[in-house]
Amino acid sequence: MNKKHMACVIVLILIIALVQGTMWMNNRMIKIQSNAAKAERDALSSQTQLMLEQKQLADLQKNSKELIDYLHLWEPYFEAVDSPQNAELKISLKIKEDNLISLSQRYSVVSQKNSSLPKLMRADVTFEDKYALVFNWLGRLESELPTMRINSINAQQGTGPDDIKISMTLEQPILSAP
Amino acid sequence: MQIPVYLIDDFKTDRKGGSPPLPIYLRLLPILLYLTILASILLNAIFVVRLSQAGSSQEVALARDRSTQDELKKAKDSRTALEKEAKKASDILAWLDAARPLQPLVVAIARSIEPGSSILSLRLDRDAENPAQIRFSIRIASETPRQLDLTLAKIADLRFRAFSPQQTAEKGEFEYSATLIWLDARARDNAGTTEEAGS
Repeated sequence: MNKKHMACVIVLILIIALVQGTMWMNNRMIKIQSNAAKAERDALSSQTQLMLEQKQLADLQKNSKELIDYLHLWEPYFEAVDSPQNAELKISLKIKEDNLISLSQRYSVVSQKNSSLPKLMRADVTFEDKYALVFNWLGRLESELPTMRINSINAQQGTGPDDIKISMTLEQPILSAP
Repeated sequence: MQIPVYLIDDFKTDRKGGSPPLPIYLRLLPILLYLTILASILLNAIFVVRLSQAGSSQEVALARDRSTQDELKKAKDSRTALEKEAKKASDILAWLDAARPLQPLVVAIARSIEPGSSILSLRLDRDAENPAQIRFSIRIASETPRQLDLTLAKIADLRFRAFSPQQTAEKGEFEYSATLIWLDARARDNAGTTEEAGS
């Protein structure tokens, strides 16, 4: 190989290097363009997801508005009883207020399936008094503790002619149980 | 003076190490090099411009995607919170449906008793699975079944409907049991079902 051939080889190497460099640049451009296109697709996909999510949110807001308003209306009554002690106090105070003849009172905290109201104070109470007094007390209890539920009533004739012996199970939900 | 040609000797000898000329196609190599240089400059300039454009559009798209993702997360959080609140509202509604006051029912039953009749026992128990349903049983001392009919009519006036009634009569005593369901709650449930089916 003479010098001319060497020069040709060097020129060829230069040409190849230039072509390689250009191809490398082209590949880099294609890669960046591909990344940009992918980013654009991702942005569009996110935009579509956002629109769908916003539509679902708006639908849910519309559909649950009445229910949520109902919740806001009742929530203060449920929040008023925030501990088992509070629930017991409220029920026992109502009994004392009307001086009912109480034969027994038993309080216990029980769990229930309702996930928003997982705990409730259960009061098993028995009275024997004038039936008018007992029924009026029952009415006041249900109106003053509107979230309380009477789970069972077992009424029998009392010892006196106007007396009634009544056993009840009262259940008061506790919104934030310990 | 002119020297004849035949007297002149050619003193120039052949050069040592001289190479033969390159073939014609290899002589085109420098031209190819210049063309390649020109093409490289041109193409790389185009590539750089496009690369810069692609880079900036990628940045814009990524920024837009990030912003959209943030909004999406907020919307999802809002929906989750709303679903949680709606679930709580449903639970509270279910509780209140099952906490309908019983005093009016008890008073209506007591007031329905006519002179000469009396309630021997009265029992109201909410169903454990569906507390909106009330298992009702009453034992009345009465000479005629009219008293029981009267009591049941008063219960019906309060929009309670009796299901699965059972009745026995023995020696001036009438025993009756049934499951009571408040009709307004059923009407509302049915309305809700119809509305859902319609939508």
